[in-house]
Amino acid sequence: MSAFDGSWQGPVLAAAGRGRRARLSPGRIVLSAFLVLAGLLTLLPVLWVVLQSFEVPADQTSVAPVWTPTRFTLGSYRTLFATPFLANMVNSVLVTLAVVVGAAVVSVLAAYAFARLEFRGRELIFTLFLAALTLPSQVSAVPEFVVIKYLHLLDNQASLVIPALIQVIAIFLLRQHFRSIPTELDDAAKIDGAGHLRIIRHVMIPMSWPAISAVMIITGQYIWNDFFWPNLFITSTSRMTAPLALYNLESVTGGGPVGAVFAGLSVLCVPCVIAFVFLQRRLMEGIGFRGIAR
Amino acid sequence: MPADRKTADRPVTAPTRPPAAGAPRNRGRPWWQRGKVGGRQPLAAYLLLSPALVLYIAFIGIPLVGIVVISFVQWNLISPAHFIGLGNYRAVAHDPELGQTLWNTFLFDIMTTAIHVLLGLGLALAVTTVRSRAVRYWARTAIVTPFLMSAGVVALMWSYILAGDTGPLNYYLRRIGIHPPDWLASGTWSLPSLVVIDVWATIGFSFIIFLVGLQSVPSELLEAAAIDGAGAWSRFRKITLPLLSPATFLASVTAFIGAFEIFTWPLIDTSGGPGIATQTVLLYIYRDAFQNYQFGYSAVVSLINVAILVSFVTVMGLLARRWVHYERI
Repeated sequence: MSAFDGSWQGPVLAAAGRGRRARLSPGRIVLSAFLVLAGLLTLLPVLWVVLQSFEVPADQTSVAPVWTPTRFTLGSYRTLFATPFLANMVNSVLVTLAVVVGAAVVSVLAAYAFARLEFRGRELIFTLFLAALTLPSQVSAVPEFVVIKYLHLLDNQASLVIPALIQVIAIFLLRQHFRSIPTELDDAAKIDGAGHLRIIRHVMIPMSWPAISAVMIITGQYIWNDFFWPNLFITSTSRMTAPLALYNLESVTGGGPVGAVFAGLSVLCVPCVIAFVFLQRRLMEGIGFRGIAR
Repeated sequence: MPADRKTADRPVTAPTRPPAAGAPRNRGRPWWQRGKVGGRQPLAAYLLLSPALVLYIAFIGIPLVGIVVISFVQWNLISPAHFIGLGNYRAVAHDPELGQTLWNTFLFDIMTTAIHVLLGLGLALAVTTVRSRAVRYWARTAIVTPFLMSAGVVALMWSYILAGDTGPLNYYLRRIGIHPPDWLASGTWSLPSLVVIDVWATIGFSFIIFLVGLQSVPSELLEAAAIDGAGAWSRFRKITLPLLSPATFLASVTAFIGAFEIFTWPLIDTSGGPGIATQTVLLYIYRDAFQNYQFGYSAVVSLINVAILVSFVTVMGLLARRWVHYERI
């Protein structure tokens, strides 16, 4: 895990290259220019969509993209929020929060059992858990749909929460992390009379908070953005998550209120950018984790 | 579990503790936590594990077994299922669409995985090489942001951008004198267009994996090689690339598995079309099951999907044994 201790700013290759002598080589300037341009090009579609959402319908439907709108209007947003889109966003938030917290609890408990306790079948169960990592969950969409149907959870947001509470990757990563915590700490806690739950609360969680929060962020990112499962399980407009509701708005109306779709896309894009700016470090750790924990 | 293994795992526990500490420690604790410290506590372990275990059985175990069971029945989920033996398998064997669907998925996957590895590595190298903090920050933000967007959002956004007559991309292409195709409705261009959308949306993941991988390449090694006169290319080829091989392996396996399950772009952007030119396996399974209500049939296709995925991942794992350097320096 040593890479996480180091700062993300560390220019590995640069330092290793020509050292301090070549601070501004022409190659690096070209590379910088390329990266700036590539970044601009990557974000251009997002910028276009956000601009469109503030334009008047005439500008929105104009074939020539309008980069300098004749005037700004919130009309598209009014159309959008005349639909139950606010409720859809609340659904998204609630589902994501429930999964993030619930999956963290489930994963911490399981990871502790795998990392610290001995019981019959530990290796077998762990191997079975790991095997699930090779197969994306969508593979078993059909039988999972049947399970959800028999649990009477179809068209219920619980169908998005309960199956997502088992995040095998999170259990795996946390187990690795718990194992790196010295056992002396739990032994000391045990001698002071702490049970497993107190050890988890007062030793494991504080000691591995960076790992837990990274895991929570990657889970949250996945659930917030998921399209497959809501599309499969949720049919009532008012119960949909925001991305699904937007797709529904677009496909049902057949391109009617283009503006509302642009407004919805912007509403869903901008938080991503903001979230990235604030959570950048944790998120990168979370993704990078998979590369390091073997 | 042999007892010696336990003591090997936690050397401090048993030997150093005074024996009398056992009794008072248990007092006031719930019954399931009583027991020897460091000893086997199967009940506590199973209790802690039970939420994960129940969820695993319900939503991973049963569905996986379920695919096999459902593959032998004819079932539309409304009227009762009835056993038809290998009927679904026979039907799938004579399915004219399946070959094309698998080929689409395979082509899409190969293109996406290759670009993920090459572009992801290239961008990560570029970002680590550049000196300016601002440029690094900007590039990282721009590359990773799309990865944070919902697949539905990405798909909708690109359906507007790539639209044939009204899309901004084609507007500018026409302005510079190119006669662009209707990207998402063209038999030739629809699949590559989906590759572009996929790369735009998910390259951030491979990029971060390579970025983390590059951080673990010890700079002393590269400096030493530079002092010994190794050029930039041979430093990259002989040091960086071998040390990056675990990251490369991870990025390619993740990209491969992810791309094989591609669903949202073909559903929203092309509806699998034109014809079935962009119909992928997961979209096909989805349509068989949830639009045609042929649950048994789609279960057979799911099994084929699983078999292909598992064999590819196995082959990649075997190749990795030869090419991936796991040793740390």
